[in-house]
Amino acid sequence: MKRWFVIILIAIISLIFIIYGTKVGCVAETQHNGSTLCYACIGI
Amino acid sequence: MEPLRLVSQLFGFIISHSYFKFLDTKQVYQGPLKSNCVPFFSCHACPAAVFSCPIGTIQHYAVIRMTPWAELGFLGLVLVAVGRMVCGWLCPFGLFQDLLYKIKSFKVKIPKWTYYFRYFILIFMVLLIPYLHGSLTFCHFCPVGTLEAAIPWVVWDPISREYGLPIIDPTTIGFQFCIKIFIFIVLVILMVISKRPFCKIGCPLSVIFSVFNRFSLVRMSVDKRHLCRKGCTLCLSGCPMDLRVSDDPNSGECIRCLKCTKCKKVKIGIGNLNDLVNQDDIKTAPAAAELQKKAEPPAPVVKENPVTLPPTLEDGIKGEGA
Repeated sequence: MKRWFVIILIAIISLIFIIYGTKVGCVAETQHNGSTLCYACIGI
Repeated sequence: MEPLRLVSQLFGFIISHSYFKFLDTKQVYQGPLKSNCVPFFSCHACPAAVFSCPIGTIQHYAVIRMTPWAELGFLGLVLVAVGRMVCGWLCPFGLFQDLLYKIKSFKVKIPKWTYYFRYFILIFMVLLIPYLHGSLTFCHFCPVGTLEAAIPWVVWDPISREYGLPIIDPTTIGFQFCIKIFIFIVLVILMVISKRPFCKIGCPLSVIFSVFNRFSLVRMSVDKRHLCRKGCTLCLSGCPMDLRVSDDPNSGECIRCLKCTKCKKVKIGIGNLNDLVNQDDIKTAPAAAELQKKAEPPAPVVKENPVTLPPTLEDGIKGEGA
């Protein structure tokens, strides 16, 4: 019962995060929308 | 189960690396899908990458000192449903490690104390240093980035359509790149001789994911109504994380590859699985297994000389009454 409560609670919080994140425009990654490459990933 | 897992891992690889237009544009994908991350390690600087890397995103947001709400929400939803199953069934770097381990060589077991290095990586290299210093620290050393971005870009190094110059200036390849390659080579050697070393030592994502294994919707369980046979290592032998599932079926380290389900006592399902096991059994399981190991054959029952018990108080009262 306690576990189900935790699962439902996290699911609700996650949905709120997604809705809020989408609304305020906090998209996951902005770096590659603005530049061509991530030079840190390439190591130069 | 293994062919199905291989198909699933290939699906994970294809779904995250399906931007083939890079051959024409000579650029990484910059469309709307790049605004979303995948729930496993996948470098977003890979020429064919469609989605973002979750760790790269967390770092990026630490640098700009904001919170990646949408990404945290997405990861929360996935992880609360399946836990670390994504590590075992979708992660392309996991597939890379699994394939390398198939190469015949001497094999070693990674000591457990090295597992704590992941916490250091997550706290310092992914969160703290990017937040304070403003640099993508982990990306500078990330072996996934080396495999998926550094090596392809440096080897290919196409001429930019806009400027007519090579995209990677060869003069910029220096010490940092060498360190990245060195770490990658060391890891590749480790991958050949041991099971999933990056998942155990270096993956900061696994630290976050392991928390969810305890209460995720999908759960492992072991039927404890019958104790394991003495010396049986059926569940342990194939486990990529070197776990004995009967000790802790929902351990944070378990990637739920389901190799251990070749033992009929190990099950996976949704919910509590109370029909198979109860929590008390799980808690006493290691102790019970230990007891079984130490158990000696039962002493024969002697029927000729039955033991006469001393008279109890109740017997005395009955006797007085008579």
